[in-house]
Amino acid sequence: MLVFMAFALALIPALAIAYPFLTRAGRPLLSDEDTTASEVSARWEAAIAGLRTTELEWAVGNLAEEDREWLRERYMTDAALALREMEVGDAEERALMATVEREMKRVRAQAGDGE
Amino acid sequence: MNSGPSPSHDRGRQSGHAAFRWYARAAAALICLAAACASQDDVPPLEQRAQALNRTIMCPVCPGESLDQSQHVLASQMRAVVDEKLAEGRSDESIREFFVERYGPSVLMEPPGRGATALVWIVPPLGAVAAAAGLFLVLRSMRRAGPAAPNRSPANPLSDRERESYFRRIESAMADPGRDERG
Amino acid sequence: MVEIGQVSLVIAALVAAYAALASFLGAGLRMTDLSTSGRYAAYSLPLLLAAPTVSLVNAFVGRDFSVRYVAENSNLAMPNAYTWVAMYAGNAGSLLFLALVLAVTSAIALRGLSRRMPHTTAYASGILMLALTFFMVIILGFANPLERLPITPADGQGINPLLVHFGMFIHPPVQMTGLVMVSVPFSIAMGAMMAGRGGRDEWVDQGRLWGMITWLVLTVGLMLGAWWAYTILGWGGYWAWDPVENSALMPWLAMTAFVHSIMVQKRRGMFRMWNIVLIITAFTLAQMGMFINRGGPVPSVHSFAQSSMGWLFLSFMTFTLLASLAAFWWRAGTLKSREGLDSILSRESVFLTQNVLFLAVALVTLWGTVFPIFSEAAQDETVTVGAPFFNRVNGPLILTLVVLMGVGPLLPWRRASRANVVNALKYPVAAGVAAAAVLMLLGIGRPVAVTAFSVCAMVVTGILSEWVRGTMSRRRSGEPTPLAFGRLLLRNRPRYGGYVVHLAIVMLAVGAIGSSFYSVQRDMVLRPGDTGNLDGYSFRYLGVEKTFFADRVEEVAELVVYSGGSRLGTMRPFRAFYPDFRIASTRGAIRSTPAEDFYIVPSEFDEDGRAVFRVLVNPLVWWMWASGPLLFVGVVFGLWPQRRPAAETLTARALAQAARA
Repeated sequence: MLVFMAFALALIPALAIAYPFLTRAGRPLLSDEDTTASEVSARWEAAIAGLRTTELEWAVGNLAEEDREWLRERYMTDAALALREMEVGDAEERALMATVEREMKRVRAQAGDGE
Repeated sequence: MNSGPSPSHDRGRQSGHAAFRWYARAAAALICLAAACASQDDVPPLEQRAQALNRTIMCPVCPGESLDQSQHVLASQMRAVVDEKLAEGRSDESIREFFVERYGPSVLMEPPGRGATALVWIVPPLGAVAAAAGLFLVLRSMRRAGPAAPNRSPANPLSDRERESYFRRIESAMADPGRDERG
Repeated sequence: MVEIGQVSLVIAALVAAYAALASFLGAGLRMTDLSTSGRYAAYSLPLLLAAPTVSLVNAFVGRDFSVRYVAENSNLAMPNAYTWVAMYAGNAGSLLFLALVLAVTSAIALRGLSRRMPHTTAYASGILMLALTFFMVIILGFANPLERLPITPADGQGINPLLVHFGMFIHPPVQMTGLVMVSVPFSIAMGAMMAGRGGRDEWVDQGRLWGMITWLVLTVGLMLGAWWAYTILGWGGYWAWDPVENSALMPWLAMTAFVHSIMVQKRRGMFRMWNIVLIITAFTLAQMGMFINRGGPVPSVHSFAQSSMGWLFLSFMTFTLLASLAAFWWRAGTLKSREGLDSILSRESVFLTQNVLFLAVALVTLWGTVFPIFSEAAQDETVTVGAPFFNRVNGPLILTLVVLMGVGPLLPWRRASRANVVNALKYPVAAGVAAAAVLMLLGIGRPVAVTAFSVCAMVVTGILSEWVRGTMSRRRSGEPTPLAFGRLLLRNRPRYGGYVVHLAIVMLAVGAIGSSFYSVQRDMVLRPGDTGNLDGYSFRYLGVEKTFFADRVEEVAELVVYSGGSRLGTMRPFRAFYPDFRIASTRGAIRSTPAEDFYIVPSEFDEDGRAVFRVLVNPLVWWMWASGPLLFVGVVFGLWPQRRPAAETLTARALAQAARA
């Protein structure tokens, strides 16, 4: 009974450990680069949050008009720079994707020729 | 706040009055609470001194507890000694000396400020001064590194046209009706 | 059942070691399969550790004294309810509990992290599993709670009577959970740094989330401990700057600094190095806490889980500290700030000042706690560093922190003009001065306490006046007051959650100031029928009832208490004597109101009918305990996920795409 239970217990981690190797579905190289949050969008979020906070603090009276103008200018510029960078990034990405697609078409076409 | 008829000025004054009204109410309730702190006359002065003294002397057999805290037999005996000596008219310091002679300096809850032990008192203020100086220097150097102009991206600043179009788009994005933080 | 637990412990140790190794290797060599396998192994550990936990609890409930740990920490006389929680009363069982908590929180945290940052997760998993492996090695090699005795005793030795209290159900597990959970935000921060993401701030959200949760658990643990001391240790106080209390306070202080400072990184991309330093400090102090609690070289009243394995904890602490510093050194280049400081007069610099002060309190506390060891080693003179030292040195620092708590939130990010600061502070400062004046008029002296109260008034005014002004501002755009107030709070959750926590801290401070400066105390000898008086209360001692139990003798006193001529009721404080332990445990009877606590506790019952009571009137203590729930609500409110507004996340991409189209 004990031996059986011990086996059953050992089976759980064994399966968990083996699972990623058994289902090698070509996982990508381990990297954080492609995850949703990138540095640019962090900057965008920080700038937008800064704008909101500025408005809130102005509304509750913690902020003088002059300071509010000053802060708005900074945050708007930060946000604009982030936005521009994102657009440029997107454009580059699209160009890259287009290249890849062209390349794949070419390879496929060649393979088709071979058959 | 700024002088001049800015909306924020007006706003600040009105809400200031409301804040004051609320505060007056809260203060009335707090005064009632504060009154709880008021009296200490019931306890005879000698007993107050005894209590204060008991808090500065450790019970030698109960780790980390003062005479005042401990319920050990020895602690209550020592408390009785404190009472006795106070009644004899001895000073706080001489009573502490008495216990130090018996049980060594570790019987005092507060380390003495003499000899090498004074280090325990000297280091914290020195550290605090050093930390304050360090903080000041760090803040100053961060300030220097700080950006001067709003549009800082030296390699490629926003052009006036870009600035206008981006600012407009950001403002329209911010005007999302589902959420306006300032109200 | 016990044997299954034993087997499961061994498997868990092997799996934890594998998980640590696979995660680190996978992360370093960028092998996704390997690191995923390590993480999945981590997921299986809660289950593997649940088995020994269940078998240990089962042994306690079933009074299986053939298990050494059960025999040493319980007996037949123990009430049934306590057998369910007796597992963390001693060293070995509490280690198992720690391991289980670490496994469960690790699994949850890694799961949340893995979707967002796989590479960071691999390192984080390695760090967490390394810590778990350490616990498993100690459990299996040095303190196995499931070890059998060669001969089964008829009865166990029983539990330390001071632990037999409702607080026992909650304080130790919460405190231990808090200490071990510090490793979660630590592993996230270190993981991101090791993966080279320190200069990107994606980890900040998860780090802040887990930092706040850990902070909350630590806070609740500390408050429960204080409450336990207040109700059971029978001296009318709740905090004595005991080494073990200090060792739980230090990581709390560092975590408090961290959860504030992390906001600066989120909002401004600054303090990246500093945050790593803070979390390394917090993690080291948490381990120091475990070391002092378990191998404690300093005498303490908390010697419940004492053991001779302090050196193990000390070695592991040294190892992780050196490893962290090495990793920090290696990656320091990636931790440059995105931006600089716009002005010294800004929220950022208040945050940094606050951080430094919190660390100062932590270091002073550490200094005072370990000084006796150095003193003994260096000059062969034992000294005690007790409460008076800490009050005197930490008092001013803590008061400064409370002042900053009032000033900081009123300062805007980035830059504040002088006029603006004056304007924001005029009402709070006026309120502080007014409060001081009123207290003086009421005849409440003591400059230190009056200053402290006046600072509290300042903070509260700052917070509440902002709430009022915010509500008024929304009301002007047509919302009725309750809706305006609700929306103000709901739409700015982190901000107002923070304010609620600050209010709770002020309540805590008010309770601490009131009870430490204005407490009235007397030790009184009463015979049955006698009446005593203290601070407007009078109490008649009716008599004592003695009851014999298998393990203890209980003497329950009965007193009728009056205040201002009206009868408040009967109070029954008691004293229980445990002959086996030669320990008397007293339970005070407390009548608590927001204004003051009337606290009475017996210290001796003589044969001739005389009884010695300690009677206290502790003003405002109620506020300390009431601050707990408020604080909890504040943290949860601040952390509750807010509906992400389209404008902040999606729109950036959408805008970019719209521009293209």
